[in-house]
Amino acid sequence: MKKRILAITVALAAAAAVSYAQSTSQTAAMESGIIPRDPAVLALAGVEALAEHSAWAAPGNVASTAFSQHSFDAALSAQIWNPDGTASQLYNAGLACNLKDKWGFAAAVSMDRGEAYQVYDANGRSLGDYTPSDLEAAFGASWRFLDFLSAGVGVKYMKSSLASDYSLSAVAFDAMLNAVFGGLNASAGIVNAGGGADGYDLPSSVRAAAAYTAALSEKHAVKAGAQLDYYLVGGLNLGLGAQYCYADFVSVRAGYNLSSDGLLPSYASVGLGLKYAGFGLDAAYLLSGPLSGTISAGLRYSF
Amino acid sequence: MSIKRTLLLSSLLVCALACRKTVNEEPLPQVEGPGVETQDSPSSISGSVDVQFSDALADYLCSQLGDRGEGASLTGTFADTRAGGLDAVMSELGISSIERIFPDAGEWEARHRAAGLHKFFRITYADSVTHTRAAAALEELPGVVSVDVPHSIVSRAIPFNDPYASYQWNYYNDGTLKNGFVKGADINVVPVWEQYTAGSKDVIVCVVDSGVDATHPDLSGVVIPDGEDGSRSFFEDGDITTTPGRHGTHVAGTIAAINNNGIGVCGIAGGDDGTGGVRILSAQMLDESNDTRRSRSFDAIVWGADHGAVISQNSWGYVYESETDARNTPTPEAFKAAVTYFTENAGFDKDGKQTGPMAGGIVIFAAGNDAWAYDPLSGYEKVLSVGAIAPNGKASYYTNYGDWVDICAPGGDKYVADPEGRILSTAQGSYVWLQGTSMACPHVSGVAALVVSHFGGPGFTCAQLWDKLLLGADWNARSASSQIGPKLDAYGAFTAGEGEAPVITTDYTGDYTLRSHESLSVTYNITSKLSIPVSVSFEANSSAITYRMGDERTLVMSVNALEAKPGTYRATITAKHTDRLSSVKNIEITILENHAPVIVGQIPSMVVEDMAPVTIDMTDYITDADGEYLTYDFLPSAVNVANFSVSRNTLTITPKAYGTTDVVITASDARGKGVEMPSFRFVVYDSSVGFSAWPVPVTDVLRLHSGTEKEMVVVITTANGREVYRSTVKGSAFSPAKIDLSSVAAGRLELSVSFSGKTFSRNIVKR
Repeated sequence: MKKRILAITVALAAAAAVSYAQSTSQTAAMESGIIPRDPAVLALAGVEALAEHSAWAAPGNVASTAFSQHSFDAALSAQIWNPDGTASQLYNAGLACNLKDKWGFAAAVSMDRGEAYQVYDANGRSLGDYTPSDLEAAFGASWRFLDFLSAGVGVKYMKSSLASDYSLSAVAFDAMLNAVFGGLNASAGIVNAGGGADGYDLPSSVRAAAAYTAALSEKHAVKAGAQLDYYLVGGLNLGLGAQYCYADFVSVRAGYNLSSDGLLPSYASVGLGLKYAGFGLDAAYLLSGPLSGTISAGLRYSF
Repeated sequence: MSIKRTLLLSSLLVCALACRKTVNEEPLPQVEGPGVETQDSPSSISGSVDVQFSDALADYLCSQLGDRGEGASLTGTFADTRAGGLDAVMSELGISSIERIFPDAGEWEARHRAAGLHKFFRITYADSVTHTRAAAALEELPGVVSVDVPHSIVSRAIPFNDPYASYQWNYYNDGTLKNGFVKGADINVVPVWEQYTAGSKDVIVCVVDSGVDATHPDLSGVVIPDGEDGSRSFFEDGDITTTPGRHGTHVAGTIAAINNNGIGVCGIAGGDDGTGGVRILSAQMLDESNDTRRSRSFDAIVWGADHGAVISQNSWGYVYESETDARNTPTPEAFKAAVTYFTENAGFDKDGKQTGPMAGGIVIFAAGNDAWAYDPLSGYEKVLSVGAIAPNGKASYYTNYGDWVDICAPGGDKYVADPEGRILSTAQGSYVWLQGTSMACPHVSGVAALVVSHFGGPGFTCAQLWDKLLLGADWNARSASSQIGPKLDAYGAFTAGEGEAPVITTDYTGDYTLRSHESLSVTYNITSKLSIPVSVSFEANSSAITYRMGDERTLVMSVNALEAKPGTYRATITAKHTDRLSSVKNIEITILENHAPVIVGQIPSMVVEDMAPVTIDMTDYITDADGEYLTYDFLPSAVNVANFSVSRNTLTITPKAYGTTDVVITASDARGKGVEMPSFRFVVYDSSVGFSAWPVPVTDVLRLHSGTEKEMVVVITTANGREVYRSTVKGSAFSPAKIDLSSVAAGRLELSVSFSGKTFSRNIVKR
């Protein structure tokens, strides 16, 4: 067992080292890849460790599916992202399955449709407009090789169509470890590692997260967590989130993501979740910072 | 002492006594003396004045005259009754009679007296006393109300005893001879006869015509006898003996038929004493009995000049098949030479000394009887051409016409009355009625002869005669449309003032030197003290110089320098009443060399915001040494961005759409010399969009401006809202700020630009 843990840890460290070595700037292409697809997670300032379910594990914590309490999770979400800025619309779908509490698999697809922009040539003449879009497809698998520990890897295909004659595509990898000790959920790994896109770095980050869930009574439960993303192009984001759940039916969420030159600016978030008979409805709203006004909503189903 | 003298002296004595105090205390003023005495007017009657007396004195004088009837007067020498002031006046004036102007009217006398007619008396005194002096003396006498000077009375009927004169409407037409006759349709010669002259034997008129019947009683002694130096014929057969003809004799009679001889007709210059007036030199070149004889008619004209004639009368012409034939016949050069010779040499001897009554001669020619607008002989400018009028004052139906006809005179018209509508004059041994311009022509010759008779002498020239005939003519007798000139007026020829040439003036005081693109318009006014027409002509040696008549007395000359090469040109305005009374205005116009426009500066590229028009003084960038306003052609690379217009070298660029255009301007002067100016860029910037940024997608450097130059705060954020660029930059449309985004990863970005308190944002893409 120790050998397994050591081997997986070494592999994650090596991947992180490769990604870091490739970073040459503080910006990265395909940044839409770091946007949480799960409205519940977004409401918790992006702390993936606080995720309620694993339908969004492929773009989120790829190692989490092995610990899923459901055999199958599926979710849909939509977002209006950064409405005061580039104002894009994201449409996401994700699913995951757990086999024998030992194996987990997840997949997701996401389309990000931006606002049209005016195209100008080198002389300033207008050539019309173009609507950019991003497409991402992710797949992940996890293995609970110890009762408290799982490892997951994921692969993402990302394509960004920025102009009629120009688009980027990249393949990125995620590698995560996830440990669960009672109410404590911790994870670490590397996200969006890859060789870049058209010479630009991907938004790779080394991530570490932890969350703790406490049942205050039969109907009242709270949980809180934090997540640190250190981007290989520089900067970090620290997300802090907390949730209150009543009767396993309604959840109220809030969080704050602190940016230190991270790829996401600082923002505060709030959210609400409903769950009943395997179905869940989640919503999130970002309160402050450049992303203020961002909203996200999603539907999920688990059994 | 006679009763008359007693009555006169008594009446004046009563007058004097009644006012003795005044008379004694204020002696009659002296009216004689240098500087005071004046001559009586020729038209006044010397030696008498008409006096209106007071009621008392008039009644007394009338009572002294008693019932002596019409024409009674009081006369006397008064030598022994002179006393005091009255004696002095009587002695001074030499009063010989006093008579009532309105004699006792018998049964009407009471009414005459009520009207005060009995108070008017004519006082006759010595002829040596002037009216001024007599009036001054009499007006001082008490009882004298007014003193008037009587004038001689002019008869308006023919004053001669020639029995056929009453048929000669051509001399005096009161409109009563026949129906259709119009009063005044004559030559108004009667007042000339009465006041000036009826012709002098010193004047010779050469009648170039058929022979003149020298034996006619009305021409007896008038026609210079045949001979080497007298009348003669000019036939090529060599026979110089004249053969009397009806035509020539008729013409001669109109000019010189003897007046007051108690027979026949009157001649215009036929004298007034029955012995004749001007003399006729017959130069026969027509033979009415043998029309095959060929004559040397031109020589006949010349011969007159060499044999004392100063007037050449010509009532003849060529025979043409048609007016076209006439038009195609040029005026014979020999004819011109003959006319010129007569004009220049008549009145002078072989040595050039004036021996005749006029210096130079005048050739008078009948216009012709074809009702045509052309005659090669009479139309020659050096002859005085004569058209014909009828007794109704209108142009005779046959008369030739045209602006070349100088004057008209009675030529008769049988359609008005026949034969009385024709001209009555002498023929061989008789009198006949004839019509034609042949008959009109001798009227002018006759009046010319009268003028020369009166005014002729050393220094009197044919030009003066010409002027008097035309200046004195009646220009208002008919409309100019008849084209036969003014009507001959003999009295007018004598009374017309000394002619003065028209005056050509202009208010323009500027230069006649034009730059090659300029134009000039100058108005010239033609003024004259005479009320006769002025003919105005204009000549110029360039088609660039034109003219138009504003009205009869205004000429507007226009010069368009563009239509001529640089150089000096001349224009001449001639305004004339007659050849002698003419004025010439010579104008020299210089058109300078043209100079092509020269570029002196580069129009800077410019940007305007929100469709604000721009004006540019083009003289800052291009000049023309000629100072002209250039014309401009514009070639913009984008035609929809702005309109370009130039007014007086000020370019106005009016934006019409947002955008950028490169403009090439070609400037040309009026003569087409042009130059192409370097292009400049013109940007119409829509400030509502905030800024312009390109290229998008940007690879490395993004260029950015917000129209005019200004500082801008530029912020670029990623799609996730992370700020990746912030800087304060300065830029304009022609010097945009450069934003280096080479270190920014590909992706969607938001570009925000802030200036002037406003922030503008838009999405861009980095590739």
